[in-house]
Amino acid sequence: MRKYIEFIVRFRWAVVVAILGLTYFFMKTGSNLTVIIDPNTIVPKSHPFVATTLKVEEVFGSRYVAAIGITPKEGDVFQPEVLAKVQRITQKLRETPRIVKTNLLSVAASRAKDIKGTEAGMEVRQMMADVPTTPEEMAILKDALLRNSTYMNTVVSEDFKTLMILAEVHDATAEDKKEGRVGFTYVSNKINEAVDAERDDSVTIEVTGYPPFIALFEKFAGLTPFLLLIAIVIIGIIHFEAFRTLQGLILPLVTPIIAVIWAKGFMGLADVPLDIFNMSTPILVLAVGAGHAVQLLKRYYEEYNKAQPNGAQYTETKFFNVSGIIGKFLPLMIGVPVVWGIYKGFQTGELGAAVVAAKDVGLITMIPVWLFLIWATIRLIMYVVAPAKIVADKGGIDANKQAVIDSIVKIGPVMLTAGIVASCGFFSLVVFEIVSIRVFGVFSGIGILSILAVEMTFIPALRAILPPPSQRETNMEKEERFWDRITGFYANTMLGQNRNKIFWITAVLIVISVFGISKLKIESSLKHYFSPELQVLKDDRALNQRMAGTNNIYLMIEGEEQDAIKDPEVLKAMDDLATFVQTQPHVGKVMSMAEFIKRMNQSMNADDPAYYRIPDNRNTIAEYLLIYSMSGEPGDFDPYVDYDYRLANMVIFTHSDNTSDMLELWKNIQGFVAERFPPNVKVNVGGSVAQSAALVEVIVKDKILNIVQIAAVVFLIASLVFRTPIAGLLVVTPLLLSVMTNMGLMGLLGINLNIPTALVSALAIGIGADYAIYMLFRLREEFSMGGNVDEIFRKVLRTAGKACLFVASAVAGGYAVQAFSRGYYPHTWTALLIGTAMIVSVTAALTVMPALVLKFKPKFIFGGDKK
Amino acid sequence: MKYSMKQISIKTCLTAGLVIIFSSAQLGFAITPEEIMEKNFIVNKVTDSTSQTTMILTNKAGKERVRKTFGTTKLQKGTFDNMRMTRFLEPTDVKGMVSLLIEHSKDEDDIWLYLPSLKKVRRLVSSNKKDSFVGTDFSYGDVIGHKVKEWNHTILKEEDVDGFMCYVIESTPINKTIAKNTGYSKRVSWIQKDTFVARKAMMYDEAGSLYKEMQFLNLELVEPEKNKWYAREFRARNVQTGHSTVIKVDELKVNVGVKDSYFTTRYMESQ
Repeated sequence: MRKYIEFIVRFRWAVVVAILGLTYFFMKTGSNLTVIIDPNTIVPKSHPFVATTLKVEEVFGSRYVAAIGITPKEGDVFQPEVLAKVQRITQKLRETPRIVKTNLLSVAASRAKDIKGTEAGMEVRQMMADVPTTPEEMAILKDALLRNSTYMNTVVSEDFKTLMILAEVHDATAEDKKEGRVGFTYVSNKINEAVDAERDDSVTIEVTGYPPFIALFEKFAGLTPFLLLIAIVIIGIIHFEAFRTLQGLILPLVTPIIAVIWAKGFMGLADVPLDIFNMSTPILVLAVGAGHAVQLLKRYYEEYNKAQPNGAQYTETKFFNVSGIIGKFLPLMIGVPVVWGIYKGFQTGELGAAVVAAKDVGLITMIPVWLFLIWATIRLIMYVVAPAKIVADKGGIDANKQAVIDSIVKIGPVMLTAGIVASCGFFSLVVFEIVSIRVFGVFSGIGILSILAVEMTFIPALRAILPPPSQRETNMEKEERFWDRITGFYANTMLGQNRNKIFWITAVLIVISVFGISKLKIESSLKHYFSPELQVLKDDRALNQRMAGTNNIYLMIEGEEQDAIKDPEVLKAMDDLATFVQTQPHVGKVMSMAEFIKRMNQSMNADDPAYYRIPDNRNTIAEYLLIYSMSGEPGDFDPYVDYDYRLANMVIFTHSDNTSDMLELWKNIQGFVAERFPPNVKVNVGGSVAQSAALVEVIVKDKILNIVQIAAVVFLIASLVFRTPIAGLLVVTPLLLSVMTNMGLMGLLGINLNIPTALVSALAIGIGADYAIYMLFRLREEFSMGGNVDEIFRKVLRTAGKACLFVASAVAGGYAVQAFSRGYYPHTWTALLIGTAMIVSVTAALTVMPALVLKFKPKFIFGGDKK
Repeated sequence: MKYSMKQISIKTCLTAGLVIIFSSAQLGFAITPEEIMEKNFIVNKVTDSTSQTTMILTNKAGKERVRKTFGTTKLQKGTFDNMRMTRFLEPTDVKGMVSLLIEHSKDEDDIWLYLPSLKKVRRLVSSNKKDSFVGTDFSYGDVIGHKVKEWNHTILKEEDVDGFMCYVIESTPINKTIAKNTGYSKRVSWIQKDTFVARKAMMYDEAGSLYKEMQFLNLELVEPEKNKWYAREFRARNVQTGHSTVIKVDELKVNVGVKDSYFTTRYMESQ
């Protein structure tokens, strides 16, 4: 290790240039990295709900339904202007790419047919081919709507006050992708275009459904880079406050930023796309990277102070005075524009606006920094060309190099251990089925390896180049500050009579957490990710209440062979199922083929209500279907039955998009199906709510599994490194504590375990182990040199412990900003949960774990290794 | 022509060019587009016929529905309105079903259906000509023929289709009602120059985007004295939905003296 680092220090310039070159290369390859927003990449394809959803989309074209409600401010919907609006919107949507033409449903859609019985037979006409103008024509339309109950509460509300247009959106095809018609923001904008043209004082128009919600999700997810930027800046500022040196501000950020670039570059090279749910994975790399960098930096200062307690002596100290002055105001210079940008960003919800606002203010506040940087560059060149002019004290330079070497020799192995432990844990995630989790594992793993590489090459080389700390800096670093008071307090508690208090508090915390976990619900509702104050949410509530529901669940009825659906027994079962489902909570309506057959049977029998039933003869059903095909269009039944009449689709309209409600409904349906359906007919469930349910089930299950998996890997490797399972247990303790308290807190606060919150726990364990590993190594190191136990513990807390505290506070602080995000709850959850995860894991690593060491006095620390 | 050539030497090149274009246009299309379409309208109106056909309907995913029918047609006296009787032979679950279509060029057509499972004749009233013809990609309007006077026609150019020179004629509806009833904002037809049979057609929907492509293959001269032609294969494809239809005329007899009594509801019930 020493030889290696001496080599790095000797060839420092070459190393810096090489790493910068490599970073540039990865930046290039990383720019090829594709970010995909295709929800299909995160769905567990083998889950039955998802398989059905995909099948329903493939066969029936249905997946994401957008609903548009038009309500006149006065009177009912039977007004020519109102109906004309619906007709125009329907027509425009028909011409909109990615909207399934054949499935478009509204009073003006061509597939909305009026089936009417006459004495001689049956009349099938388009419900509203032309907008009625006279009262007589209006009456005819109203009769037609009343006659065909299928359309009640789906295209028109029962009180005739609202008309609804249902537009189904399909995933982007290859052609759509070529034309750039990707994402739901695109579709949502197109729908709004069609709708906005019709808004005026006479009507209220509401737009809701999955496409606008996913578009909203895309918008907020788009804020992630902006939030990451804020986090970086705030982490920097907190580190600056902790170290009070420019190096303290910049170096701990350089490492993770380079690491993120490398990781992205690797993924670009390997052609692994980044999905939208992994946009926040750099957070993890950032937190881990800052953690290692701070440990190294802290140790470097320690070693430097040992060699050069009074700092380097400079002949010309102005350079550092300026840096000191600038440094004093730097947090303000950066802070003001950042705060302003955050304010603007949350106000407008636009990343661009935030950046512009921050830049405008930053241009002014940062003037001194720019001047300083120009000046410093000139100085730096002088320092290289004629170092004697600036640094006279050769001792300082030597001490600097020595400190760089010593710190790496001591911390390097620890960092490598911690990094390898963590990256193994993350790489082990490639066994998971969901692409998103695999990408998460690979991305984090590579990110952490990159951190190690950078910390072992670039950072020591750079530090060897930079001027050694002056006296002012070393003093600043040595100053007793509130960080020391925290670690001091920890040390006093641990070493005092109240040591057992730590265990008691932990026990109470565990009990509370377990209680919280027992209340934790695994549940997701996309609509509940957003503030109810947002327009789309308001629209959704209004329309959801007036109509049959703005959420769809599909039941796919699957026969064994062709024409299975024409079987009267199957159709009767479907009809009974529809009746049953309509009695279930939250369900507003069921649309199915059975209803059309019943309606045709009635109309073929002079509209006699007694014939509103499925005919007993299979051929009659086949004949009806053929007759219908003579009056409609070939695609009219596409949303309900497949071409072979082997599969049928029942569309359930529900008021709830909650996955647990859906699962409850599905459980009841399964019970009914088992009793009522012929055994050779299968019923499966799909649709966007079912897909979310599958996603939550699998991701949450997978995440919990992956927590267990990572914890196991961490335990195993830590045990191997220290050659005792006790060490493994000690390392895993803070990690498990932070995961437990996190989940307990969620349960107590009523935050559901869903995709965004499950991701946070993965982050918590990614970092939780590091603190413990640093602490254990340092304890062992100090014990190996011998001394008073109390003193050793105090020293370890003051050094390695303090560094952990810096990082945890910085990361928690960086993410606390997200708490101010308005409208999008996952940001708030992330802020809260990352904050608590950081605090709990650092506190556990600084109190519970050392207290355990003190209590059980394991041999690998106390007894061993006094070589 | 010779006179024109003489003028070229006198006048400017620009004028000369225009004259050539003008005179050649005059020469090329001695017949008006309306006349072409009129001749095309009646070219397949055979006096009567009996046929056996296979319809193959294919959806976007490539799934097929096959239907076999036996049909007779007869022109109503003194008109070009047809009577069409179609009996379904396959698939078995609709075997014996009969549809009777009496065209009324001035009114809605009459459609009667015989349902063998109920042993009943029922009348079906359908909204208009744009509806699908028994679930195919042809509309009733396409099968019956679009009335020449309801459309404005222009000759776009002449083009070769499968080795036959054709007029390419664009037809647009004279008013919005026609567009609405037929579902087309534009039709482009390839009409063979010498026989006036259509070889190809493209239809555009009301919004103006391409809607259907049609082909008429294996054309046969079935009544030489009246210049009546009959396609033995019809193809249509809805480019918007990907659904397509092939109608193959397996057997065809023309001018065989089909009786009027075939085209009554009583006859439908009797079979």
